[in-house]
Amino acid sequence: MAAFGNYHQVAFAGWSVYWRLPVASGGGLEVWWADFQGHRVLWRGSQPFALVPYHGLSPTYKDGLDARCGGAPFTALKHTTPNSWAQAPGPDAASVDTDAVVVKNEPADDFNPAKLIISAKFQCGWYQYVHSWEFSSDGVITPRVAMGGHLHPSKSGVAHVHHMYFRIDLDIDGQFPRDVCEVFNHNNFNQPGGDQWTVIATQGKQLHDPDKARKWRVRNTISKNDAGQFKGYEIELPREAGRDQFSTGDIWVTIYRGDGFQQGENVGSNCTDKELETNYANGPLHPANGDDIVLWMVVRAHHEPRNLGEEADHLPYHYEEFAIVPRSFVNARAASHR
Amino acid sequence: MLVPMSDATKKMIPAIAPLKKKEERLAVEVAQRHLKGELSERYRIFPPELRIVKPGRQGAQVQRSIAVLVVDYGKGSTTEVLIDSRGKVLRSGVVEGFEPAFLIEEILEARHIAGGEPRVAKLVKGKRVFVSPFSPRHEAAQGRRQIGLHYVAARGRYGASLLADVVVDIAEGKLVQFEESPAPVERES
Repeated sequence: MAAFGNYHQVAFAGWSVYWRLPVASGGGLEVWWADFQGHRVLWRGSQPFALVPYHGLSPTYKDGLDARCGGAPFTALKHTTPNSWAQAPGPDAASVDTDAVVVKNEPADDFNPAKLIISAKFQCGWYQYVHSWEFSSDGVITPRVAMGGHLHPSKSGVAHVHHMYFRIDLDIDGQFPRDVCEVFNHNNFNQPGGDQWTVIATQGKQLHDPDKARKWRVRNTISKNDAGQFKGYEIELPREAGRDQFSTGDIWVTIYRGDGFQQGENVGSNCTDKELETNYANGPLHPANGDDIVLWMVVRAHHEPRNLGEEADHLPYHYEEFAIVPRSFVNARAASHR
Repeated sequence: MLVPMSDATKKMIPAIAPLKKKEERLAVEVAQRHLKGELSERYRIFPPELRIVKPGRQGAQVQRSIAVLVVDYGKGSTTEVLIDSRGKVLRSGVVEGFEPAFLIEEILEARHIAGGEPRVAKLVKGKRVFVSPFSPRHEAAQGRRQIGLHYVAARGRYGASLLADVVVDIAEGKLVQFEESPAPVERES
């Protein structure tokens, strides 16, 4: 059996999920075919690359898949590697994918639902990245990414932003019938009518607006739950840092064009994300019959280093996350039995 | 009890089963045969990986295919050969605008080449050194296969200092860039 690149199936908390660590991409952990209670939710999810601009405007790394601008691919580490200077190549490099990935089945307790958690850590220059995907028994998916390792050795006091890009290919209740993507705005407190969902009619870049509680949804065009509501999953994207000249959007709505293409390659020729808008999220959508929607999204963290204090020895793992939340996907009866 | 796996995934199980050694060998042989005469003298074949693509129409089965990447050092290009489970070539072409991640073997080779450079050897002598790869590429085109290496030395109880950034051209087998970092300014105690 190949050391990397195979699909490994795990199941817990009402979920069946496959995970995979490819070699050639350098894009880290991928999750595939995530099914909840017997229904397909996700074809594939990954956090293939990050853009990391520093104050002073140099450097601006593109890390992960198709690394550029001084950035580095994500190299799988043994999961036991300490949060320190890792030797990869060397004793800390995972020699097989199962050395890197940890699957944890977390039972429900008095405060939280049961969770299936798939995690792996990667070397990237002096940094370590952790990719972690949580699948909860209430149907929620929480992709998480952490930064650890060490500060830039010659810019240890220089602040920078981690723009971490996720590619999410939702297939709500299967690849067919097709899905549409909608954007939500809380416009005012009118009742009814203060909140509004709008179908997105063309591929393109979307901007967040926390003042409007903005979120996005991928929903099926045909498939409904027992109450007659379209099945869907929402994207709730917290904002702890803003857009800038390197990372110009929050969500990009595009379509599936293959699994060996448009995974983050060809992005970053100027150390920016402009190609997501010009090359990827470009073309019409079909609101009536739906499309095979693929979303790109950014999770951000502005890192003001504590280089003379808490981060002098190493960076404690700092996690950022977002949520992919079911709406009308689960029937009320099934939901009450979780 | 609710079964978590969907019917769609159950139908895919044979197509997504782990790649067998026999399949790997066959895929490499087929790719090499297919590219015979097109490759330069120096190339590297990446470990074959399964490639599962969504079916184009409702009711169609997911097909098992195997992708073989060949990085041609001499030409500065990467070719992907996509092969079905019986060894038939489905598609082949140069991959534009994507550079595959460095393999461990390539990083070790780059370190070996850099280590033979007297300036690097002198710099790291007697120090506890951490070496990590980076991509020096900025432009969209792939170009020559070059591996950057950061040399970092531990300094004192905490912290570290960047000694140098070097770039190794794998095709040429030589160091093409050496940038020594200025000595760090010691903090006032």
